[in-house]
Amino acid sequence: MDFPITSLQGKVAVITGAGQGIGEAIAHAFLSAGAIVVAVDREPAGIDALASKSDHAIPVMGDVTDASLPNVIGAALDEADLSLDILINNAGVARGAHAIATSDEDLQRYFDINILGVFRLSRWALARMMNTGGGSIVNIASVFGMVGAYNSAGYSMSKAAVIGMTRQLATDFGPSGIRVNAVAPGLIETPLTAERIQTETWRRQIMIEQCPLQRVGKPEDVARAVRFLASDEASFITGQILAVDGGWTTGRFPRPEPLHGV
Amino acid sequence: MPMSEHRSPTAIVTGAGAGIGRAIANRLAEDGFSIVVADRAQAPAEETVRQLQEKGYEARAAVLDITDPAATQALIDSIETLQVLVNNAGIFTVVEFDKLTADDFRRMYEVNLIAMFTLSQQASRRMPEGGRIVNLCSRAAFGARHYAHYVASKAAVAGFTKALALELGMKQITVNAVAPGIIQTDMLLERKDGLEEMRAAQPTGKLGIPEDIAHAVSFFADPRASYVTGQVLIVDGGRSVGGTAAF
Repeated sequence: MDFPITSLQGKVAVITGAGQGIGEAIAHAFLSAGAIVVAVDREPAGIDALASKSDHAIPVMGDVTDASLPNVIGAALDEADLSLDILINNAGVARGAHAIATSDEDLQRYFDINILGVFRLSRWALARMMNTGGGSIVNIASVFGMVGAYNSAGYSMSKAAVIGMTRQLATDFGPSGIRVNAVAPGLIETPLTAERIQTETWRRQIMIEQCPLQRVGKPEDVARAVRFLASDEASFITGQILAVDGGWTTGRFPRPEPLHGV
Repeated sequence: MPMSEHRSPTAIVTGAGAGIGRAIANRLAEDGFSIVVADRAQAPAEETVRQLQEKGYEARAAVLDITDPAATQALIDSIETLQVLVNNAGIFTVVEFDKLTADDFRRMYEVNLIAMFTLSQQASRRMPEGGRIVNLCSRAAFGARHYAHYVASKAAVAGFTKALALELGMKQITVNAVAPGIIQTDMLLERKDGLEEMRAAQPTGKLGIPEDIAHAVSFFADPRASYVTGQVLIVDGGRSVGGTAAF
C-alpha cells in the first residue's frame, strides 16, 4: 500500500528541542516530507547529527529561556534567505513533584521554559508570519494539561497554560491566516522517560497497562500528528488539541481481558 | 469487478455518493485503499465509483440502507480485507424546537447513531488488528439552534466514539471522530440564505471544503496513526475556539 507523505515541500519549519526524543522525530518527519528544518536545541550533538544527515537541516544552538533566541533564529533564517512558515514549540521540561514539594523556584522554572519559552517564540513567529501572509504553529502540550496527573503540579499547570495559549492565539490570529494547534502526547518512550518507565511501577500500570491501546507511545506517533496539523492538509483546523495517547484520556482499562470476543 | 479481486486493504465509506463522503472516498483511494462506496442512492454511488475508477483507483458501489442490519452484515461479509470503516452517512433536518417531534428524534438517532453502532459492531468483528474506524461527528455536537435532534445525535456520536475506542483498544483497532464545522457542499450552497453571515462568522473568513474533512479522516485511517484513539477532532476553521460560536 502506497501512502503518500503529507507534503511540506519547500516549507520552512523552526523546531525547538530538535536534538532528541520527540523533537528529533518531528525533525525527521518534516525533513522526509520535504521541509527545510531549523533545528534548535541547547545541546549541539543531536542537531549537528541531524545536519550531517540532511542538507535541509540548519542547526541553531539556543535555549528557549534566552530572550534573544528569536533574534538568533531570525538571523539564521535571514542568512539562508528563508521565510518562516511553521513553528513547532517542542522544547520543554518535565519533572515530578506534588504541590507541597514544589518550590517557588521550581514553578518559576516551569513558567520560564514551558510557558514563557513557548510564548516568546510564538510572539516572534506571529509577527513574522503576519508579514508573509500566514503560517502554522504547533505546540507540544501534554495529556497532563488536560486531566489531573500524579505528582506533577508545575508541569501540569504549565501544559494547561500551553493549551490555553493555543486556543487564544488561534482566536486572535485566525484572521491573519495563522493556525495554532497543539498535540498532547501521553506517555512516550524517549531517552528522557525510558528510565522512569523502567523504575516507576505506577507509571507502567497506569499509563501503559490501563491505556486502551496498552502500549507506550513512540516519538514517531507524535511526529505524525504534528506534521499533519502543521501541513496544508489541516488548513481548516485551528485552536485544536489533539491527544496522541493511545486513548489514555478517553478512559482507563481496569480489567485484564476485553469483554468482547474474537 | 469480481469480489475475489479485492485484495488491497478495503475502506468502506458510507454516504460516499456526494459531498464530504465522496471527498473522503477519493482521499482514501489516493492513500491506497480499495474503496466500497456505500450509499442508499444508486446513481450518486455509481458516479463516485466512476470518478475513482477514471483515476485508476479500485472502487465498487454498495447500494444499501445502513439502517438495515441484514444489508450491512451482507456488505461486511462480502469484504475479505476490511481495514477501515468511515461512518460518514447521516441525515440533517432543520426543525424549530417547538415543532420538533419524538419521531424526528427517533429517525435522527436511527440513522446517525444506531446505524453507526450496528455497522461498527459488525465491522469490528471482521477487522484485523490495526483496523480503523472513523466517525463523522459535527461541530454542532457542542450546541446549535433549530436542530436539537441533530445536535443530540452528534453529541452521542462523540460519546460513542470514546466508548468504542475503549471497547476495541485491546484489539488495536483505533476509533476516532472528525467534527466538521460549516463545509461548503452542494447541499449547503443550495441553501443560499445565510451563507454570507456564515462566512463572516468564520475567523478566517472562509468556509471549509469537503477535502478539509477528507484529509483529517485520512490521518486517522492511516495504519501508522496507531497511537491515536478516542479523539474528536474539530475541523471548523477555528469557529468554535473563540467563544463566539452561537449558531
